[in-house]
Amino acid sequence: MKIDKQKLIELLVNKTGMQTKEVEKQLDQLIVRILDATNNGKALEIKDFGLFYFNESGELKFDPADELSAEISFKYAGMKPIEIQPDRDTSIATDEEDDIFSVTDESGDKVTDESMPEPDELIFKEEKKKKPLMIELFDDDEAEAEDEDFDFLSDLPEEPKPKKAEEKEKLAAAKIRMQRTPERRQSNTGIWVIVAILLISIIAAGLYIWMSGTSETTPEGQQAVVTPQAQPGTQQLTDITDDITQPEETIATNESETEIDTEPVPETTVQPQPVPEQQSIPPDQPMYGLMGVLNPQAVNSYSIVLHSFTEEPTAINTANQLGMEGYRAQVTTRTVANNTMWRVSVGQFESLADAQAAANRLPTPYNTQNFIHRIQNN
Amino acid sequence: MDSEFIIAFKEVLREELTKKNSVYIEGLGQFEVIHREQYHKRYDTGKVLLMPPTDLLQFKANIKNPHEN
Repeated sequence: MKIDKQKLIELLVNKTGMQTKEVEKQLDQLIVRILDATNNGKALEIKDFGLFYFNESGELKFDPADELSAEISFKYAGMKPIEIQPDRDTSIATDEEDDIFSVTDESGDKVTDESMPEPDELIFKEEKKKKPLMIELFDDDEAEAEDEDFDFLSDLPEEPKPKKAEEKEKLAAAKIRMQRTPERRQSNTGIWVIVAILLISIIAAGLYIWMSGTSETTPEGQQAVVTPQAQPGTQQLTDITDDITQPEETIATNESETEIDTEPVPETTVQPQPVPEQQSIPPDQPMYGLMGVLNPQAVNSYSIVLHSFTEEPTAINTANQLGMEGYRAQVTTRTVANNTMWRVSVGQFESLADAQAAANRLPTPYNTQNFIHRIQNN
Repeated sequence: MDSEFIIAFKEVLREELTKKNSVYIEGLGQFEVIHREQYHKRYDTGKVLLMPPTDLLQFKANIKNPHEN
């Protein structure tokens, strides 16, 4: 709806209790004052509302105050960018491999002298130092540096082989070989890292199977009992991975478990809350999906947020309505700047791509007015 | 100018804009709320972020700086 000047004056009259003429006069004075200030090259700020000024091209501009912007976009308050992980795993790893292996490829020849590691080792260390800085810039997912290292090292033993045949034909390689020694050492490290990663993966897979098997045979409420038992295993995993690397997905799983077990949930953590009127899960219902009954065993799932409320009863009522329409609806809380918000979301999806595809299939206006967030159940 | 009027002006505009109504003030311009969908942001490093949606306040002036000529 469009509020014109006449309607605005009516609203102001109702708000202030002043006479219409008085309000008109005050509004005109305000406009004149804004224009006077800006014409003189100054900016006029209305506290908690915004700043009026003329820009370089002579247009009147208005920058809303942070408070006003926050109120207008309150529905999306506290939302942070989500990294899309599959793209990261494939594209970035290969780019960086090319850069780094432009040095390491040459080490494919049999180099026996390992006493002169200095030059390339320094280069390698510098590469490793740069990575954490990159992550600080993005200020996002902690796991990516380790992921990059993992990609780099896991491919290391395979790379020298094709280069071997080419290098044999070159006689001038003798001097260069002396400088390639560090990569040989790194390849040993790489083997150890791969072994460690394999062990971690096996342990993680075993834990996952064990936990899912246990939770299937016990009622929902007993999941909290299962989690502490898993802690020694996960703690061991994080100890091992302090110095070495592992795939991002494994780290994400471990983080969610250890975070919940070892320390209080931070304010910004999503806390799933079951919708009160929940039905039993049909035996033929898949683990993930948009429709059906909410499955508490679908941990670390993605969900499509359709509403954000400041009051819990409203959120629960809305979730119940969506549940009656057949959606897997749930309510989660999020605390932003001491304000608690209740988000109503539908669906449980294994991947972000699945969630996005399902979001596009939602009826209007949900298909455009939604966002996806990740839910980590304990 | 009355400070009570300024407070009421801010409150009325805030109420109407949070209801997604646009406010047109003759001699000044139009305030309106636009919705920006979530989008993909791709960095040079190859990293791709899904940026959240947001509602933005936009102001379109209907006057020009008289000194601009």
